[in-house]
Formats: sequence, C-alpha cells, structure tokens
Amino acid sequence: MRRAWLLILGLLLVVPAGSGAGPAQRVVVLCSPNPAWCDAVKEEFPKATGIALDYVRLSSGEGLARLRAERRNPSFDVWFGGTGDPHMVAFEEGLTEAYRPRSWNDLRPELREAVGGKYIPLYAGILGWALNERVLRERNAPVPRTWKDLADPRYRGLVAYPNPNTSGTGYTMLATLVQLYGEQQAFELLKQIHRNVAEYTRSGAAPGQLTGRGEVAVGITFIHDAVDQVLKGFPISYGAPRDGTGYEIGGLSLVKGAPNRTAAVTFIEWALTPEAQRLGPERGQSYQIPSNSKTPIPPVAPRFEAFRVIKYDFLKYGSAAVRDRLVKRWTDEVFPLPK
Amino acid sequence: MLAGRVGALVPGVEARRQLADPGLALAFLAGAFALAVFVLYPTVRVLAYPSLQDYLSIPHSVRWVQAARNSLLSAVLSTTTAVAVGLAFAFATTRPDVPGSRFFRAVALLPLFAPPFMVAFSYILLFGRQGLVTRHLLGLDVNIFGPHGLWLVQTVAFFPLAMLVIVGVLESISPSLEQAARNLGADDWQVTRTVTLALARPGIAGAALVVAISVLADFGNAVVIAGGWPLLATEAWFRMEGMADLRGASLVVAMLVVPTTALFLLERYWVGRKRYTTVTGRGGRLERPPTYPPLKWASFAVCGVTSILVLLVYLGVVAGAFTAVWGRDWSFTLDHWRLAADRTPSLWASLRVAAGAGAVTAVAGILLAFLAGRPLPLRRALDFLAVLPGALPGVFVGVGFVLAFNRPPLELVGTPWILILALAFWHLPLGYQAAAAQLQQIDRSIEEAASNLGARGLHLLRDVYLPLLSRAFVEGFTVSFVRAVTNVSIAVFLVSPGNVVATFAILNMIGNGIWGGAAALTTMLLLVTFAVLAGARLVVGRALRPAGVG
Repeated sequence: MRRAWLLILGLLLVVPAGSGAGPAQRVVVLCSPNPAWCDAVKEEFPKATGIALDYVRLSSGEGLARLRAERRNPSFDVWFGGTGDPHMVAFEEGLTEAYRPRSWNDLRPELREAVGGKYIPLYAGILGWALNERVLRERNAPVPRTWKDLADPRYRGLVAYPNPNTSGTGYTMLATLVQLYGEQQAFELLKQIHRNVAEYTRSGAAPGQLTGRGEVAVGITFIHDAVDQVLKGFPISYGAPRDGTGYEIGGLSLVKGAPNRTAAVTFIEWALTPEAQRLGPERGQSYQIPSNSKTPIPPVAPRFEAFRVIKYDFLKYGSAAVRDRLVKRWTDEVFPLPK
Repeated sequence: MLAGRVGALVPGVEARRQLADPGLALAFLAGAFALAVFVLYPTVRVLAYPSLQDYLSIPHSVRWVQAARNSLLSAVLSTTTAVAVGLAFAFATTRPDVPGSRFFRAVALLPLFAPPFMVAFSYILLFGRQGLVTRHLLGLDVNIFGPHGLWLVQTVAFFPLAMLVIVGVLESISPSLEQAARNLGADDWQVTRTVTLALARPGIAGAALVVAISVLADFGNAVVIAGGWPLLATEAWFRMEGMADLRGASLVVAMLVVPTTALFLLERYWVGRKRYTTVTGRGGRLERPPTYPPLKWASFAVCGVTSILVLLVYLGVVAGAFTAVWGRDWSFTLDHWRLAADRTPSLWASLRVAAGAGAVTAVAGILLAFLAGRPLPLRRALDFLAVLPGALPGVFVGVGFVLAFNRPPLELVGTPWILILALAFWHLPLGYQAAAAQLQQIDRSIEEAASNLGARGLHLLRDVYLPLLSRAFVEGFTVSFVRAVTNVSIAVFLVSPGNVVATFAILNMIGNGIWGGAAALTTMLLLVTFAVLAGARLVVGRALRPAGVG
C-alpha cells in the first residue's frame, strides 16, 4: 500500500514537470489562422531555427481576451495571424509592443500605411460569402447580390454568420456595414438579417464549411476561406456583395513582457520571409494575399481588383472604444432578438 | 478509552484533545486551507467581482434577462422530458419481466461517459440539414440548431442521471407492499398508482433537481448546437473569451449559481431526508408481481426509442471518423485519423491533467472524509465546503479560478496546475462521498483496537484507514479522472500553452468545421476513457460510473 502512495506522489511531481520542460529555447505562439497553418508553422519553424514552438489555437477575439486576462503574467510570446482589429486593440491597451522587423520595407506599402505601425501586417483578405447554389435552388431563393438581399425572408434559416463576439470575421462584417450605411441603418439591416441566420458560429471559417456541407446556403466569411472549400471539392461558389465589402489585414504582434522575447523576435522575422509565408497556401489551406511583396501571391487568392472593396478605416474601427461599443450594441440589440 | 467517550460528550474538550496531536492538527490545517483557497476563495471572488450597481442593472439588460429566461425554459423542458424518460428506464430496469430490462440498463449508462458536447455533435451529424438520418434516409430538411435541438440533446444526455436516482428509490420498495395492495383488492393500475408511483415520488423529485442543475450548467451541448440562442452558461464564455469582459462573465455565472445552489440545497436537505421508508427494510425477497401490461409496454416503447437514440450518439461519432466528407462523399477513409494523430499531444495533455485531478480529488476526498468523521472544530463547515462544488456549474468554477489565480499571491494562470486544481476541487464531492461511504463501513472497533495499542491521530489514518481506503482512492480517482478527461466547461477558460487538452482541441475542430477529425479524436478519447474504467473495474471489482453536475 505504501508503494501505491509513493506512486501517487511521484505522479503528482511528474504532472507539471512533463508539461513544462522542453528544449533550451522555445517560443509560445497564440495562433489565430486555420489550424492547418498553425500545424505547418509548428513543424517548420523549429527546422529553420532550432527553436521549439508551442501554440494554442484561439480565434482573434478569444486571443485578445486571453492576453487581457494574462496581462500581468503573459504566457504567450507572439500573436500570429487573425484579423487586425483585435491586434490593434491589444496594442492600444499596451498588451503588445511595436516591433519593426528587418523586412519592414519589403512589406506591401498600402498594408503598412493602413495599420499605422500598430502591428505588423501578415496578410490581407477580402470579406464575402460562400454560396451553395443547390440549396438556394431547392429553397427557391435567388443568388444574393447585396447585403440588403440577405434581409429577404426567402433566406430564412439559410444564413450562417460568425459571432462578432468571438470572430474577427464577424466584426469585419459589422464594421463594414456601419461604414457602408451608417450605424443606425446598419443595425436595422443586421436585425433583419438576424431573422434569417441559422447559426452564429464561433469562428470565421465555419460559415464557409457549413455552406459546403449544405447546412446553410449563404455563409458570410472571408473569400479565401470559401476558396479553400472550393479547392477541397465542395459544390459551392463564392462572391462578395456588390454594394461594397470590407477586408482584413491579418496581424503579427510581439506580446509585451513576452517570457521568451529573443525567440519571439526570431519568430517574427522568420514569419515574414517568403518561405514562411508560402506555408499558408501550400500547407495551411489559407489563400490570403501575403504581406511580403516578395512572396508570390497564390494564383487562387481573391484579388482586390475583382471586387468592390471599401476604403476600410482600420484606425477608427480597430480602436478598442469603437469595437467594444459596436460589438456590445450588436450583442444587446441584435443577438437576443427572436427569430 | 473511557476518557475518549467522556470527551466526546463535551465537544470543546474532545476537539482540543484531537488537535493536540500534531499530525492530526497539521492534516486539519491542510484540509481547511485547501478548501478555503480552492473552493471558498474562487467562489467569493466571483460573487464579489461585479459591483452592486452591476447586480442592480441585471433586470434592465435585455440580453441577460433573455439568457436567464432561456436557461430556465430549457431547464424546465429538458428536465421534464429527461425525468420522464429516466422514470421509464428506472421502471423497466427494476422489473425483470419488462423485455430487454438488462440491455436498457447498460445502454442508459452510456451517455455518462461521453464528453458533454458529444450528443450535440453526433446529432448534428445525424439529424442536421445534411444529417444521415434526416436527409439521406428520410429525405427531410431539418434545422437542428437552436432550442429544439438542445432540448432533444439534453434529454438524451441527462436522463441517465434521473434514472440512477429513481432506480435507487424503486429498488427499495418492497414487493410485499404491492402484494398486500393486491390482496386488499386493488387492480393493477391502482397498485401502480397508489403504491409504486406514490412511493417513488421523492425519488422523482430528487431526480428532477439533480437533472435541472446539470441542464442549467450544461455548456458543451449548448455551445455546439445552440450557439445562437442566449443561455447563461454559454453567455459567460462569450463575455470572457469574446470581449475579455471579466465583470460581465462573473455577473452571468453569479446569476447562474443562484438557481443551481438553491436546487442543490433543496436536494440535499429536503428531498434527501424526505424518503418514504417502507417498514420492511431489506426483507424484499418476495417475487415482484407481474407488471401491469400497458405500463410494461409503454416503458418498453420509451426505453426502446431512447436506446436507439443513445446508441446513435456513439454510432454517429464513430461513423463520422471514417467517412470522407460527411453529407457529400460517404466513402471510407482513414484520413481523419491522421489528422487526429497530429493532435495526440492533446490526448497526452488530457491524460496528464486528468490523472493529476483524479489524484488530488481522491487524496483530498479521503483526507476530508477522515477529518469530517472526527469531532473536530468546524466539522460541519468542512463538510459543507466539501460538497459545495456539486452546486457550482463548470463555467462558474472556470471564471472563479481565472479571477482568483491571475494575480499574486497564487499566480497560476498559464500553468497546468490551474486546470488540474480547478477540475480536482470541482469533483471533490465525488471523491469525498466515495471516501465517506467507505469510512462508514470500517468498523469502529478496529480503530479502537489500534488506539488501545497506542496509535494516535495521523497514525490511525496511515496504519488503519489507508489500507482499507485504497478502494475509496481508486473510486475517487476514477470518477474524477473520467469527468476531467471529458470536461470542456472549465477547460475552455483555463487551457494553457503545452496543455491544450483534447476536449478543447475537439471543440476547436467542431468550431472550424473539421468534423471528421473531431469525430476521430473524440473516438480516441472515448477509447482512453473506457480503458481507464476497465482498469478500475479490475481493481475495484465492480463497474464505476461518473455522475454529477455537467
């Protein structure tokens, strides 16, 4: 019996040891893009640098929440990917610090300017929707053309929309509508669309997948996520509203007080190289426009020229005050409405 | 000896005598300290975090009023159906003349071993718009997302809890009472109504309370199938993870803990005592009279349909793990297993965390049960704190640990310990009650004999109790382990780098639409769970089941 107790004691000592130990150098990444991309990064970064990498996949809203909760004692070193607004809020709140990478001048100038140096642009992607035309036909609903079309009762139960509380994609749509129509009108429209929403998803990629499976007919998502579904052979098409659509500039940030700062800087420099950025389309099922102008644009990536993209005001709509107010208003006024 | 007896009559004296033993005093301090830090402190932190103003504003917030109303509505609906189904199962499994009686009992326990989101996930695969059953077999167009889907899922997920409670009561009803009623001229229906069901009433009430707590606290199913329908349990997480709004999150979980605690106290102090004891005691050796046929076949029908639904939960997930693209390409594939194999580190993390939690639960449970059985000061407070976590929803504990341990003196955020300790102390009542039950069986004379031979305080625990308590340890460990390995409600708040547990990875995969991979990883997790249970069964010699709040 005494041996059993020693065993238990040993077990208790092993539990934390088994989880904390590792090679001398490691970097802990808060990873917000497609999990496949995170996996590829986890595999390739140690090969390139010899530094071990651990990541937790959290969508960008969740990521911001986690950084806030751990403000006094961050466990993450770098925040990789995810829509830009939460990166910007994190910077304003002093959760991340400005770091100017060596490859700064290679980054696409329009992206650099749009984010005002508050975080490092990693990629750009356009907001749109995935369409399942078979489901639309079955329900006798036409292909939607504008945001306002989505308010039509014929789309009842056919729309999937990421919850702006947890998804940067969801917030990008919210902010896009506000910039297109003004806040009052945008919320009226969102209330009408709400009645047609089958499911508010947690992540921004999920609506494209629900569309691919025919759970819904219209999935609001970044177009590159819809491209991913098309390439996987799902019977969907994609597009963007003709009344105008928004876009995201995915972020890369150095966490303030990072426990492994040197490794974190090495990671940031590596993540901006063309070799690392190619992992997105090649292995990460992610088809955005890479931020480094030397990285070849994936041939299937949706281009800005093909859609009517608004001049999205990242500095205003990425600010914590505006973001929190809009999301709170949506959460209080739209989300609880009966369907 | 005599001094001990006399001392027991004067509590102050006896307590002082007990604490004079340094070992026992140390154990007492350790137990009290652990409860204060890991049960009381997080609870108080949550309740005290929102300001009075915040509390007063609750009735004015449309969203919170609505979430509260929805939670209550789903609690009423799901509890009613779960208890009704549970009653049918309890009835069928205690009457051998109902066909399939033993089969039903085995099937009914299955949902207890599944991760809390599994029923919802499987039913999306089977009964959703692309569902195997709804669309491809029946050609229907069904949207399962929403309150109605949640109702179905919670009924299937929680009826086993109701069944276990009611079975306990039905089994204690002596067949001789039914026989007597019959001899007095009552017909079958009258016997059932005035004897069986009447005596089962407290059991049904108790079952309803236990199920209602679980439904209110249910996070996993709600987040998967009713993400668009505001509920208190999911709302807390959206607040926290979406908006980093700790104050809102703590307010929501504080709202949630009021009804669960009320139900818990009601169950423990009211129903728990109000059992109709049938005088004959254990003399129920008489043959049970044949069951009233309409009732027999009605319960058979309910159990039959529900059993199919339960088996489908497991079939759906296993099938999903081997199907190329659910809803479109039904060919067989092993690809998802490759994807799941990439996530095996999360499986190891789950095992580590759950083993740690299981060990802490078992050790703390035994220590506290030992202390609560002696005439020590604050004994009742210890007992109350040791069972209190049974009233706390997982999301409450999750928020509580973030608030309590994200700052000095005990900064545990970001370490594996925060998750281990949260799970361990949340499951403490299971370990505590298992240990207390074992302790009651240990004859006092053994202790007195040892005591006469000079063993004191902690020596008693080590030399007399521990060898006898190994069984309690295995029970406490196993139950806590199984529930920890399948937990999501706490894990979503507390995972840390290097400790991404499997349930969290699965939830992420479901959220990202990677259903095949999620199904494969869930299957792996189930295999691990059942392997541990089988091992425990070998050691203990009987099957264990994890029951309690979700």
